[in-house]
This record gives sequence, structure tokens and C-alpha cells, in this order.
Amino acid sequence: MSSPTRKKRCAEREELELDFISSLPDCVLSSILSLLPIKDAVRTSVLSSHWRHLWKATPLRLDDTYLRPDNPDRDDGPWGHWTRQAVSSIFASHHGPIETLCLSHFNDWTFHPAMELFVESAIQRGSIRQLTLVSKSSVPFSTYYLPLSLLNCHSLHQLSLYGCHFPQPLPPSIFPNLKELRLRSVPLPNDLLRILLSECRSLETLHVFFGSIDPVINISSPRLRKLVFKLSYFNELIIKDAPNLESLMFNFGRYTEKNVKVLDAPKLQLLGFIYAEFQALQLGGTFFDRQTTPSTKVAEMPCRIKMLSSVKTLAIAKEHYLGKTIPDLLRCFPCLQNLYIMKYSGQSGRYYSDKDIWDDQCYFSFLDHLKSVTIKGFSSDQSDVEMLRYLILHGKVLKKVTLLCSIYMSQKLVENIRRQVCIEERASSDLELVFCLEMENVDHFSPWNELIKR
Amino acid sequence: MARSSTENMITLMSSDGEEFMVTEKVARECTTIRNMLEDDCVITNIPLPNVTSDILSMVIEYCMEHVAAAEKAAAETAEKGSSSAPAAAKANKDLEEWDKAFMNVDVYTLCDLILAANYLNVSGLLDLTIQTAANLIKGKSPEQIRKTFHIQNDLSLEEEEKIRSQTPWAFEKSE
Repeated sequence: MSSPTRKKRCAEREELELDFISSLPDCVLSSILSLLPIKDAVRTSVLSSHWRHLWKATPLRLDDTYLRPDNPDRDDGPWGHWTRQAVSSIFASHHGPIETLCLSHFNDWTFHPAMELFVESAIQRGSIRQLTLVSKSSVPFSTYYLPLSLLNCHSLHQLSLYGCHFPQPLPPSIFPNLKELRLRSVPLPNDLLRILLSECRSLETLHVFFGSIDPVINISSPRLRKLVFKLSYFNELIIKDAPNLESLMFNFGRYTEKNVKVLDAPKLQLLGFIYAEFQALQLGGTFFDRQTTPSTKVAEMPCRIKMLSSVKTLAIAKEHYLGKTIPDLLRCFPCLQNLYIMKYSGQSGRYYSDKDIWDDQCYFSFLDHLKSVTIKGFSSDQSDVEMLRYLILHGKVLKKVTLLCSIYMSQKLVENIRRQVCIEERASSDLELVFCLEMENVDHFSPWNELIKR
Repeated sequence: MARSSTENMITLMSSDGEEFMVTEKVARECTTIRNMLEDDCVITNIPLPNVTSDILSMVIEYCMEHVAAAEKAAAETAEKGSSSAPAAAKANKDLEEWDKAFMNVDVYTLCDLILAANYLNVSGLLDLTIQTAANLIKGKSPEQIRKTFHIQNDLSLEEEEKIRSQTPWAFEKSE
């Protein structure tokens, strides 16, 4: 790797103490600075006169979440004041473009004017692509309203908002190039949702976490590819017309039974959480209703159902000891490859014996495709064991079954379960059965975290 | 790696006159050379007056390793129909380890490699080298950075004090 001549020359330079890095082109030095945390980049301003102004022209990626003193204990109490002063001095000195900006220490309403100034400054520089604003003020008169200039910003691709509000009325055109919008605790009435879906011409990903929402939500969007609702309380979700929707994830909160209708989403690949104890559910042309199903045995299910054959990954939330609906549900997904089941402790106190719902004579199309099964909150109750045995005996390409247990499984218990699910008679020779210890319900979405990440 | 007889060979000539025979595929890793080849497809001899032989040999070593890794991955995908995720992850990790070992150089070589990667437009090598340079700066005091790169401080005490006072938070000493 290093020839004798090279060694000789390096030794000469070492002796002469030649400064090679400063002679690199400024654009290269800027690239190096852009990889550094902002504090390290600012520190280079005193290296020499050549370095003095370099960081100020380097495109800025500023996230104040991790901007804090080296020894925060030195300050009595939180370091918000320190961080706000640092952000102010960065904006006072830096004059180059700003690519990403996250302001999380300006959440109190007294700091909103400062936040507004920085947002305006970032927009004026014309290249802001990613913006995150946090405003947690709960006092009514202290709401942070998004400035109109932000709604019209052409460079913005990704926007995350915490607790901010949209101004009313909205301008006719908003977020012309926004691809991804994440809203947390942002009020999202239906008229606003409709405008966002119809007017944001580039919007592909929408996350709605918490926040007040109308009880019935209609989604129609020609462009939307990814839709996530988490812990938002509403009664009915209707996916009416979403030709490009690939991922649909929602979580209603634990004890609520809501209506979901997925009417037209031909490209849908990832769907969850479907509550097995739904009130009413419509998937494609198939209707499920608490009153009428699941009294029908799977083998007798009508064949005329319109299935969701594009779905490859499905998550189901199911109450402990229940599970009669699951065979019927799975019928709607003939090409399913990955199945996630999250179990929760219901308050219904209902208990069904699930014997015989997995009829060995019955055939499911998805058995030709199913590769992985993950059960979160596995507790070896009868309904789990019955289902697993069926899938293990018939899943021809099943590669991995992961059981996330909330209690420690002794070797004896593991052996017992392996016997009960007939692992020795598995249909797929390279099937792996894995037991993992995991805290129950720490995060409803944990098996999905990887999928939610961009 | 079997080299097919039909593969074109290109000769790269360093600033100090040394010649390196490489396959066209390896040469094409350098966007600058790829553009030359696309403008003039019969070209077989390319002088590179900005790159010395020792640095050029390192750039070629990097390109060959990355071409070989990409070919291996493509062959596995073709063989099995689809690449298995664990095997691909391992191959990626091996290549990362190789990159890491490759970057075990003194700061002068590092700066030369940055210049060469920038001139020849080898994006993978440029990313790798500037990340390595950034790692050498990260977490260090200005004094330590100057020492690492032999940077001469030509600022007067007053000037330096003025710069520090504009962003005092960045220069707080951590104990």
C-alpha cells in the first residue's frame, strides 16, 4: 500500500510540517465540514484565516436536539437557554444555504417569535429540504401557527410538526414539492386532511400521530404511497380510492373496536393493525361483521370474495384467548408472505375454545407464499398453539417463526411448545422456531419500526 | 476473478510516467475516465498529470476491490435467482472492513487520496476519504486539529478572541 518513495515523501512533508489539508479545494473542505456535528464545524473557524469563514458557507444541517453543553451538569437545570443562544449565534454568523433544520428547544410560546425568525431565514435562503418544528404549548392563546411563507415553500421535501397548527383559511396552493409530512399532536379536521391530500401535489407519505381528528376519515389520494395513523382516536377509516398506496398502518389504541374499510388500494403491500375483534371490517369486497362471522367455518366461506392479493405483509392485533376470526381474515390475503400478530389483554373477558377452527382439510392460497410469522406477546394459549401448528404443518416455504414472549420461557416449556406445534412434522425443512424475551406492549408498533423508518 | 478475453484494457499513466493496465470496467469506476471513454471510445491510453503513481496505484486498488465485490454480488444473485439477505449483509460488512483497513494511512496520503478521488471523480472513494478526514476533526480542540494536520495558525490573538466571542458555546472546555 505504501511504496518506499511515498514513505520518503511523507517523511519530508512531516519534517517540513506542511499543511496539506488547507490546500484542498474549498468545496472539498466544505464537504468535510458538512459531515461534522455543528459544534465541531464551528470550532474550525479558529484554525487559521483560511478556515475562518469556511463553515459559514457550508450548507447547514442543524438539529438542535443534540446541541447541548459538553457538561450539562454545569448549568443548573435544563440547557434550553444554552441551546437557544447557540442557535441564535449560528443564524447570526452563518450565511450559506440551510438544508435541514430541527428546532426543538423553542417549544414554549415565549420563544415562538425567535423560531419564526429562524424559519423565515431558512426559507429565504431557498434550499431548505427538511424541517422539524416542535411547539408543545398547550395554553390556548399561545398556539404556534405555521407562517404562510412555509406553506408556499418550494424547496421543502420533508416536514415534521409537533403541536403546531395550520392557519385558517389555507392558501389555495400548499407545499408544492412536499413528499413527506409527519404530524404529531396537530389538529387535523377532515377539511384540512382533504386539502392536504388533494393540494400537496407531491405528497407520498403521511404520518398522523395523536392529534384531534374527525370520527370518520375518508382517504382518497392518487399519489399517496404510505399512510400511518398511530394512536389516533376515531371511529371509522375508509380507504376509498388510493391507487398508489403501498403501506397502510394504523393503531387505534388498545380497547377500542373500530370500523375499517379498504375499498380500493390495488398496490397495497403492507397492512396493519387489523383488529381481530373488529366491530365491522371491509377488505376489498369482503365484509366482516361481529354478528354474522365467524360462525361460518372457513371451508364453507363463499368463494366470491374479492381478495387483497397485493398484500405481502400483514399485522393483526388480537386479544388473548381469542382468534376465531383469524382464518377468515387470512383468506383475504392469498399472497401473504409475512404475518405479524400482536396480542393484547382484552377487557372483554370472553373466551372461546378455538378447537377445530384450523381445519386440516382446508387449504389457504397464502400457504404457498408465507415466509415468516411473528407473534408478539406469545403466551402459549390454545388459540396460538392451534394456529401455529396449522401453519407449521402446512406452510411449505415457511422460513422463520418468531415468538416474542413477555415471560421467561424455561427449556422445559420451550420443549413442550415445540411438541405441541408439531415442529418435527413441519412442511418446510428449513423452518426455524425462535423464542425471544420481550416486554409486553412497550411499543405497539415495535415489529413495524423497521418498516416505518424511511 | 476470471477476465474475459474480449474485455478492453486501458492504460493509465501517472504524473511521474508510470503505466497501469486496468480493465475498462475498473477504469470506468472513475467518472472522469468514464466520460472520456464515452466521448472517444477508441481511447486506450489516458495520461493523468494530476496523480502520482503511488496514489494512482491506491485508487486502482480501491476500484478493483469494489468492482470485484459488485461482480460477486451480481453473480450470486444470478445463480440463486435472488440474493440472500444475510449473505449480502456479510459481503457489505467485509467491504466496509476492507475500506476501514484501506483508510489506515497518514494524513498526507489521505489528503492526496482526497484530491485524486475528487479529480478522477470516484464518488465512493471521495465519500470514504472525506468521512475519514471528518473523523479526524470530530471531538478535537482547535489545538489538536492544528497539530494533526500541521495547520499554521496565522490569526492574531485579538482576531482569534473575536471569532471565539461570536460563538462562545462552541469553545467551552469540557472537563
